[in-house]
Amino acid sequence: MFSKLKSNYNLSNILIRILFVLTYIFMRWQDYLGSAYIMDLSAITGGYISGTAKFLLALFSAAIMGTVLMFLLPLVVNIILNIARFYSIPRAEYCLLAHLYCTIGFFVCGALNLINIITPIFLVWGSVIFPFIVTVGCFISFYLATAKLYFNDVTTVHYFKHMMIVFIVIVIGAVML
Amino acid sequence: MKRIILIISVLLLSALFVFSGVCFAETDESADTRYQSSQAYQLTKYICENYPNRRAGLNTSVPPQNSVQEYLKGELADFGLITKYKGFQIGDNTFGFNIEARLDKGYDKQIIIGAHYDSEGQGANDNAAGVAALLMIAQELTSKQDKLNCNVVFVLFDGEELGLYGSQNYVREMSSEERDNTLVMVNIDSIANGDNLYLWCENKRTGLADLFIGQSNGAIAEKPYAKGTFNLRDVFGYGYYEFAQNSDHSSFRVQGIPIAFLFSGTYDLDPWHYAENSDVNKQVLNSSDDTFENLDKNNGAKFVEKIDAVVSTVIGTVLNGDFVSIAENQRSQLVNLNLWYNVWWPRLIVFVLFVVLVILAVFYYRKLQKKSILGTAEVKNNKVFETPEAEDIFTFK
Repeated sequence: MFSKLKSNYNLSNILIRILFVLTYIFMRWQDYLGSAYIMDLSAITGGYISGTAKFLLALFSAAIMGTVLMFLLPLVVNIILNIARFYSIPRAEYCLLAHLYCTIGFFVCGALNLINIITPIFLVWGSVIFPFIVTVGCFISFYLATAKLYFNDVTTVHYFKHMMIVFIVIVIGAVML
Repeated sequence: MKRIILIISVLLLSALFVFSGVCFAETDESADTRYQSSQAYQLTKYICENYPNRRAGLNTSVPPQNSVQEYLKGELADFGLITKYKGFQIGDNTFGFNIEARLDKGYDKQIIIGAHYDSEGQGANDNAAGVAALLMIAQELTSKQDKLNCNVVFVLFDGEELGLYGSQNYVREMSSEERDNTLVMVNIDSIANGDNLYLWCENKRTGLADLFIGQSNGAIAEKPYAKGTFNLRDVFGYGYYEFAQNSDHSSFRVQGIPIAFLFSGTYDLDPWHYAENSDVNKQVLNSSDDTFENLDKNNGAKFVEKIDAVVSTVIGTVLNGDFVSIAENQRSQLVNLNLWYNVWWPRLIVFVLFVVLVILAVFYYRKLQKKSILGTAEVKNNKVFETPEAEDIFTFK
């Protein structure tokens, strides 16, 4: 199956992009659901809004955000690659790998967030620690995979330096704040 | 002759049937309306009809005569309790009044039983019913005070609907010794209109919750853990938000005082959240439809049963011989809500891990630098995906 996917770039691209959006929903649905409840939607609609409707609204909102992120990610990756002056790597494939590792990260983070349904004890701690662990794990594996594929002993140093900068920005911006 | 006997028999049977029907009908009718003579019904009705406007914020620094404050303080004083107003400022020229009644038995430890009496509109469910329950509990515990193992403080809070003003002010005025000596704060709010009665002590199983549930004889269930819990808006200082936080017990809980919150509603209508009633048309919380007429029409005897269940559960729990030891142990079972613990500790841990990772990365970078000096600069053309051939693109396989 994986050999078939490897030989068919377009199919892999479509599948990974779909999974990217789905896993994003899986990771963030609780937050969007919370927003749907905390916002007084009945004041806007003028009537009672059922829990199912709010749940669907949360999934829909998460799907929109996931789709936006799916399109934004290649743009950001390209900007970073241009700034770092990495011109010799296959951009489309690199972006696809970025999507793939994000997808894995979203899935793991979503699975960890399921603990919140059982007990809210980890709600506060988990919201900070889970994304950090997942970000570190995915970032390191993404770096190792891409460094092995596209960079030699000389260029890896340069690549690692830029990856560290990106990692610091992501961790400080998205996880710690 | 036989025919006459038969006719008489039929007439007698008919008369008996009609008579029995009337009797049963009268019995049913009396059963239907019997609850209306109950204390819970009469108290709730009295508060709603005589004090339909209980919105917090009086323009006087002392409650006027014939006010709801006067009535409630008088009722508690009539039971033999030591009562007093605990006033606080709401706005520039508006004041609120908590009503405190103490049943002091000379113990070190105390429990606080509270309910808010202010309301938006008539507030039959929210919270005339809760006030009625508190008055009934106060009356009953006063009559059984010899069986108490701790002091009891009854507090009727003002300004809950404006944002827990009364309870926050009450906790602020408590000394640290008094806070330490408070075993548990029992809060009664909106207990009459929901489908089910719930208890919320902590978002995990505790001995105190088990004691309350055991005393309720199946009338009260524990609030499902983590339902209606969201990691988004932290209003009171729990670190997260959930609907069951929206009452006076939160002012005590965030100060580390164990709580037991009794309320009604349902978690069955909505898979993720609280709803006041499974019938959407009966959801009247914080609206002008929360009237005694609607409460009676929608619930009938059920709302009286709920008030009675809360009263008997609280009394049974407080008078239980194990109550004090279980309540003392509750403090050790509380989830830590400390702001430093909840907000800064996880971030600090992440920051430390982050710093460690950066240091390791620097070492790794040095290693890569050394490797690059000795290593080869061969061009790497690896690819995960083979570029599709033209025939692969244009051919359906």
